Amino acid sequence: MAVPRMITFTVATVLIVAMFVPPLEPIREEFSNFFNIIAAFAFVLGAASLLGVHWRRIRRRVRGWGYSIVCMASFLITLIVGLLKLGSPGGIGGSAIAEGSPFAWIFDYVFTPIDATLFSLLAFYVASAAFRAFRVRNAEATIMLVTAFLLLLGRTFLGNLVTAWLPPEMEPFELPNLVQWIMYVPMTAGSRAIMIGVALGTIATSLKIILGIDRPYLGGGK
Amino acid sequence: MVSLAELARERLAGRRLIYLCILLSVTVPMIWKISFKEHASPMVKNVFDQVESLPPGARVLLVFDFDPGTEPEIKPMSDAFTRHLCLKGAKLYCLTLWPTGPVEIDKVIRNVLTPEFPDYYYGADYINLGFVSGDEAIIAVALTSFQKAFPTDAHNISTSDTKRLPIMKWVENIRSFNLIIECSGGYPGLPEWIRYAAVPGGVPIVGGSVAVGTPELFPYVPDQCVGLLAGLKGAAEYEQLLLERYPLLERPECRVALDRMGPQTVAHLAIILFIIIGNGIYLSQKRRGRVGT
Amino acid sequence: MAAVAESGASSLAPPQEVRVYDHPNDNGGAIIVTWQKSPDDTAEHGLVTGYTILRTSRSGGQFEVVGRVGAGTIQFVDTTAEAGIFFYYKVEAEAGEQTRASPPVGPVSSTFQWINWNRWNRLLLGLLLGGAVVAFIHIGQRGYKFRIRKLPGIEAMEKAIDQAAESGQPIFFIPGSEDLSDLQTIAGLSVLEQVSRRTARREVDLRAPQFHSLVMAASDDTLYHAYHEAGRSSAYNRDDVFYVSDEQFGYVAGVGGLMCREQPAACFYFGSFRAEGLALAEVGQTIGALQVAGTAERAQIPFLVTACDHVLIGEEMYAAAAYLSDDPAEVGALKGQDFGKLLAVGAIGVGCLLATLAHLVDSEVFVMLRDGLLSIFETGTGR
Repeated sequence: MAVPRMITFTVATVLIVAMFVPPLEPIREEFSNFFNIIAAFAFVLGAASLLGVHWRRIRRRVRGWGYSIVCMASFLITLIVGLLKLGSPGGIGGSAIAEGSPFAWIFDYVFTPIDATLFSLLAFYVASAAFRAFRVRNAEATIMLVTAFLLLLGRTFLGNLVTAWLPPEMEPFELPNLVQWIMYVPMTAGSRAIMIGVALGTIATSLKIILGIDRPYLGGGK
Repeated sequence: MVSLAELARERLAGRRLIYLCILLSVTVPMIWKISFKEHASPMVKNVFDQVESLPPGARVLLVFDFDPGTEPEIKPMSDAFTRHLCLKGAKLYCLTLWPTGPVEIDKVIRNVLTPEFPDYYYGADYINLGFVSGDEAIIAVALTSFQKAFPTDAHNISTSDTKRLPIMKWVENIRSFNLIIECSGGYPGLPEWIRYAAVPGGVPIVGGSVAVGTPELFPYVPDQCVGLLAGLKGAAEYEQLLLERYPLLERPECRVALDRMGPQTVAHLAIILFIIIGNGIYLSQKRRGRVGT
Repeated sequence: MAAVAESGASSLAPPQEVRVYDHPNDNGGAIIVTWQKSPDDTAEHGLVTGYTILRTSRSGGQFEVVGRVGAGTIQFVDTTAEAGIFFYYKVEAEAGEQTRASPPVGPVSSTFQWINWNRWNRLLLGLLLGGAVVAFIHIGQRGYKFRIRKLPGIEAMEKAIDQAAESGQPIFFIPGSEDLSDLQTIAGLSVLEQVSRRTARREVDLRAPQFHSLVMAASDDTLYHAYHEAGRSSAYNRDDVFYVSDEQFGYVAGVGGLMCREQPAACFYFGSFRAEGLALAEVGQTIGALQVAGTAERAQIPFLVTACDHVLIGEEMYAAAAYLSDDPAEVGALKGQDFGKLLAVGAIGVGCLLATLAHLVDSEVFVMLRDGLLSIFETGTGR
């Protein structure tokens, strides 16, 4: 446990010092490259985990094991087609995503529609979350409800109509202007406050890691 | 035997009814092509005015930092910006820091630039610099040397070859541009371009972002960022301004965001209705003593 | 096409007052060239189309082009100036085929500086805030009992583990969609460590589906150690921590389906999330699981607040591990954060007051104080 902690402490100290010492600045980019390379190799771990978990589910006929067959088949087909560039116009030396290649077909006609469909589910989820959450339960919930109401209305054509009758002196109270004020002032203020808190939390957490007080990346343990 | 009404009552209870209403509120306007006129907010007007004030030949960095997932919101913006810039006679420098960005640049060149502006020539009036990996580090390099950050274009022609790419002749670094337009689907995006290019380079920047990401960007407006198009609504407002200024653009492909705002507006109104009904049910149940605070 | 100057003169005026100097606060290799615009580079005349910057390493030697900038520009940074070599520069105005260069200036060489003084304010703030955190950690380790306010989300997590133990249902822990390089993920893993110790002791099944392989490896180790410490090594199941997908909605599809099939008693979301946060939280709502989330992603906080039962917002997520572990050093670090917040509030208050006074009162003192305070918090992003 001492060696990983020493590595963490040394690397962190060097990188912090490099921020203030120009001759050491190239080191920061090198370490960033180290991480990217390690993360890319680590993908093999993930693939092995995926295949292992689903193979064991199939073997034990765990409930839903049919989905595991679909998952493994999709993974292996996409991997083989993309890695070996099967059917690509340029062959193995060409681009896997060249127009007309099977890999591009999988991306355009399988991955992209599924991705877009699942993304679209958020519209339904937002509606059910809004129905459930925006209730006049207490003072804070009421403020949240009223703000959400104004913002939702202000972002539609009704937002202009509802307050269009107001005289010019009361222009700041027209709904679109009110919505803009809410976004520029209280929302930005709250956002900045959270940002400051997060920055302080980041400093504290980073120091705990550098000093070896917290070592979750090593799997915990004392 | 369960009656149809009982079955419907059971199946449509709770959130399923909400989902059905959302489905109808999105599909009905889409099928019947219901859309509404948009009124541009001051922030969108600032973006429009910034582009409108460009002189002919102005050099504009047009960044496509989005992917197919965020395309429905961002692509109408990037298309509208491209049209507006071409109508102003600006020089377009298209690039991306996202691996999925080159596909989007290809789409805009194929579907907007080439068919609608045949007098725009590659290498002289616009250039596709493609994707370069490195996120904000690349932006920082471009601040001092654009050729170092983007050594070749998307067709592997050296950006120092000003004979084949005369558009690159007066581009040395970020400061060589009149405007940066960043279409941002996430990270790296507008904050990175503001911090590493626009502010240190002293170049004005405008942007477009997905709706969920815009609250984080408001602190930058208007000091560091002239203005922002917030999601599909911002894109629709920009298209509305473009159509009012250039009536010749009145055709379906120039009002994609406006058409998509129809379903979004109706869905917003549906959600407002759910909130009202939900509170009505909640308050009546509370009055009957069924629900605590 | 070059316009003819109003005066009718055919010769182009060169750039004026060319100056060259070493770029400060860098690693060498950069020289700044500045000049005054050519008198023909004006909005009215518009003769000049750009400037070419030329360089030679020998006095009287052949100049080579090192850069070009457009009309109106008055500065160029030569980033190819090898450190230690002396160079001479000249700037040439261009107007179509016509060019006119300034006299050469130099010699100048680029050197590296040991300290980047541009970043003095970051060093100052870093030492102040970091020093406070370290000091409070030290005080905590010496036995001082700090008082910290309760977080309902943490109490709910502990109750949820107890309920899961009684009902025999599993608990899902989702450590966010970013890799191990993101501090939110590290903070999430700290929480996983504490949660897994409790679930191991209470014999509750903990599932941790993963976005990234490196995080999976760390989570797997964490779970193994937790079971080992609880004396239940035989109950450890390597399939409890598994890779799903690093694609956002691939993960949602996989984990959402698992949640519907396995019906967990509780779902804990700790880390960095994007749109998948809301999607997973809504699936959790559908199955009636207790949900506690913690994230510093400002864009996602509103969604999680509406969809989850409890949310730890921003820095509360970084504090969660301290609450769960009750470790004196961790709690001390929390107090260090509080000191930082006090500093921030004070700076905002004083800054607002100074800015208001500078605006209202005709006095250079307030302007100077305001600008001085601003400079402490400015972060230039140049070299």
